[in-house]
Amino acid sequence: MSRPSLANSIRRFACAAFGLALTATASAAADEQKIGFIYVGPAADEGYNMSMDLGRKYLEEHVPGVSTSFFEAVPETAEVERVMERMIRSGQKIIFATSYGYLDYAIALGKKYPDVRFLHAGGLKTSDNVGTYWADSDDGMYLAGMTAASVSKNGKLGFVGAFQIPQLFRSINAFALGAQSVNPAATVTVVWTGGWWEPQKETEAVSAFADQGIDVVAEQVDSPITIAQTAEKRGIHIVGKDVNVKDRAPKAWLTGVSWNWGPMMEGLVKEIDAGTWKPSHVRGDLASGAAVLDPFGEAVPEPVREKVLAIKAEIIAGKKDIWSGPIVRQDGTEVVKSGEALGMEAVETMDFLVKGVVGSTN
Amino acid sequence: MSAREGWITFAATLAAFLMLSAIFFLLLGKPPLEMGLSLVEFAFGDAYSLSETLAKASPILFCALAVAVPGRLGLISVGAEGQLYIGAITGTALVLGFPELPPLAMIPLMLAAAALGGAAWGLVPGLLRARLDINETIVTLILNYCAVLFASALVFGPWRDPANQGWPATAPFPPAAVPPAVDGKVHLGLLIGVLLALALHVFFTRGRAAVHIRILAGNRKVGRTFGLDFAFWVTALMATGGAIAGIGGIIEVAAIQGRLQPSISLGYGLTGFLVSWLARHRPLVILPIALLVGGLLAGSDALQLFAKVPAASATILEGLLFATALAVPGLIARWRRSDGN
Repeated sequence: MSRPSLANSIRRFACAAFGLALTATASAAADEQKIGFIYVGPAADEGYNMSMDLGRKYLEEHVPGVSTSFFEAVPETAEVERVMERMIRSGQKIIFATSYGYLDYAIALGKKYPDVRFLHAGGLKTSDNVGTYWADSDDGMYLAGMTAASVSKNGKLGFVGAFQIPQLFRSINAFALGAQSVNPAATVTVVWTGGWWEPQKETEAVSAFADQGIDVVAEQVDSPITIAQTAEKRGIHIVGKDVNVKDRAPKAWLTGVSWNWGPMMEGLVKEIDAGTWKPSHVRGDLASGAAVLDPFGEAVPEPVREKVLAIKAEIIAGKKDIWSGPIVRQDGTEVVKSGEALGMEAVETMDFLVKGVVGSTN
Repeated sequence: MSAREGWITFAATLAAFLMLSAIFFLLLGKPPLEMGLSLVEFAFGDAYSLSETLAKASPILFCALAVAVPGRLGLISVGAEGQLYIGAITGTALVLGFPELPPLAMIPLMLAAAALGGAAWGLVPGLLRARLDINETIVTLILNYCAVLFASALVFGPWRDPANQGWPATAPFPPAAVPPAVDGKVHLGLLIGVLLALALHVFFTRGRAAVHIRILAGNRKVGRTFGLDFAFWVTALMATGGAIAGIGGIIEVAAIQGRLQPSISLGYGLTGFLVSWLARHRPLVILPIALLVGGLLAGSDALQLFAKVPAASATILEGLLFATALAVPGLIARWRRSDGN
């Protein structure tokens, strides 16, 4: 093939395609509220992204006049800014930016598009048109920790975490404190995978835990599915997160903490429509129903269930604060004295691991 | 091959690609024509779409040129991805080390640092091939993993900005380190990439070096009898390719990302490799193909946004494009041969 011919051909094709595109008109219904969702992994991940996507589907079903679209597997780089801008230019007026690393990009883009509302999952910053929403799964993780330590034969628990960020430290600490409330000698060994979606590292971590004699593994990565299936194979137990995968690992499953974002998202969208929305940190929890303690698995005996559910009732009734002292760091220094409790800001910027957790914060 | 035959091959390739894409869309249960049109509209339909396409094409262009340069000597380098990361690292090192430099000094020095880093990363497989005859494809492949992990180690470790609350990324680049751009994303890097392509075209088609490289690529033994130094050219071209990918890396970081962090490349190294092979390592052909592939990647936004097809569809379309572009000309040539017999 001669050089000018191919180059010319491509150039001509591009021109022809360009012409065609101009004649193809894009039209959208005028009155529908367009809402965009952005996920860091696949929407069908049986985990965090699926929990957000279930919220999206809930909106489509429950809020009249809403049409949604989503982008999946968008990395937490400038790529997300590009994708958000694309959505905005296609008429999306509300963007749910569902991954931790999207926040700075949402704030930057928010300045360029002041009419668009950005709702970021779990962030700690807001701006004129960027608010955050989150549900604290700490209470659930505490209860899961109680369950784990009650079922464990030796009090040796494992935790597979993605990144060393406050959200993860909270989960691990809540899990450890719950476990230690049942068995003061319980330990939680943490393995960091350095990514939200690392099935191979997750498999290796669970196998390594099993080899060390750890018999319950909890996790906070994108999806519990790999960890659940590996634990099922290795004959150890798991505590799930984000989506209930009990059916996939019936023997290994103890319980889990999953999300129910739909009603919270509905509330936010209705506030925006009514013009009453203000950028703020909207937070749900076990009591509000945005975080859910999953049904127990067969491996959890009845007395343990009763004990855990009794504490759950106390938490929901506001009689128990899982972040009440004494809480002691890994190095033995005290964070909160007995009789006091961590405030919301201290919890949301948590940068330490509690005593009994084996693993590093950096 | 005559121009007419070239046209036939091109038309057949295009038809095969469109047909396979249509089948793919039908399998997904989507109307192919509508999907195709919205894809093209999102790639080239207005100024904004075009700037997105150009932004995507930039790293692909650099990576393709990085493969093409050693490719002219018959070498198969798959190392653009790693060289891109190393360039991003050494360029970032300069920015973090001297954040106070004025723009006129900062940008050239940053590009130079990136070029040196990328060149060093290309030099390793180059020297191994030149001195010890170790396969450059394997070495560049392995060095890709090393480079990506090295970047992660830096941003998870010493270079992590404490202000990020644990998030693995460096501090944002100072404004002086951000290459000038029109319309947000059409940045200086694109101009550099186009100029590099033109310069490489001249270098590989005119003058004595071009002849030497062509002879060595054709037959190394013949080249040696003419006194040509294969080892020198392997080393020089591998290092040059590395330098080009390195520049592409720091431009992606400085112009698009604004800071160094993991996953700065969305497989640009491999895409660039395919583009270079599709263009048969001809810089002037790489230019439009990089633009076309950039358009495909940017335009595939439409597929997710309107048709709600999975994110992997874009990758599948890209795969179909490369597969048909490589297979159809071969099939036609074979059919012609058997027809002539």
